[in-house]
Amino acid sequence: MLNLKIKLTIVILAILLIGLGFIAYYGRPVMQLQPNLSTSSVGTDPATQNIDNTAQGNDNFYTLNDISKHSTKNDCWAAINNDVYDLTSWVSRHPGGSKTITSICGIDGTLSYNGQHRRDRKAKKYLVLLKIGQMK
Amino acid sequence: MNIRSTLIIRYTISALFLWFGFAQLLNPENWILYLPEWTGYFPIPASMLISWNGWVEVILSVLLFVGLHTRIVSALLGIHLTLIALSIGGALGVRDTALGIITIAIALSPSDRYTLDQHNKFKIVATEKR
Repeated sequence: MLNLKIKLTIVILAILLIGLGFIAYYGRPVMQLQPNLSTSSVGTDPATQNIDNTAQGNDNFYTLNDISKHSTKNDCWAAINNDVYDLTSWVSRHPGGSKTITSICGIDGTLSYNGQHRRDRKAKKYLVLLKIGQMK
Repeated sequence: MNIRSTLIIRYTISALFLWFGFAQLLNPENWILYLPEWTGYFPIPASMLISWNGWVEVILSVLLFVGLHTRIVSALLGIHLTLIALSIGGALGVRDTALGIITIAIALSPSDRYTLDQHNKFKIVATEKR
């Protein structure tokens, strides 16, 4: 006869394993066919946005006036170290919270960024994916 | 330590891990940044790793809350959080290391009387042969 504690442990372990199985099944990557790549809209993934912009992307030049027109949470551009970034998709994903990102929407956020992430290689790795141009 | 202090610490740490576990389950892509680089070599999507981690944290936090296998669970959670904190570094890492050490401290003391471990029905009693 198994003790109640052991029985409960077995049940909880079973729940754990079933949960892991559900996550593995429903979270598995599934290839999705695009109906027409040439007419499909650009995804919101910053990586795809940048790929689409490479013909003109890093050759785009913006002034602070241009950047100031994108100063909301849902349309957020910022200048950092003379480069211009579209931070819209990053607002809700920033580990330090959305307020620190929205505080630099529409302005030159160099001081704010360097103050927090000057030597942060991870931050640079993610930031480069969001680049859309340079400061004029 | 006073029983109330022990209870407060245990329930608070349990709530902390429960919150983080659910947050990882509901929005795994928000936590990908915290994955160490060596996990990139796994043939498993990053969001799946985060979801698994979240589910495990949810289960372990429930166990900690009800007080089943308290010492083992709190040791696992504490070591897990401390390792994550050390890999993050910075101000966040300092704060999380302290929380991890507090969680490990729960494992270093015997279970309090409000845990299932100490409940009569859940105690494993050795029977003597006569």
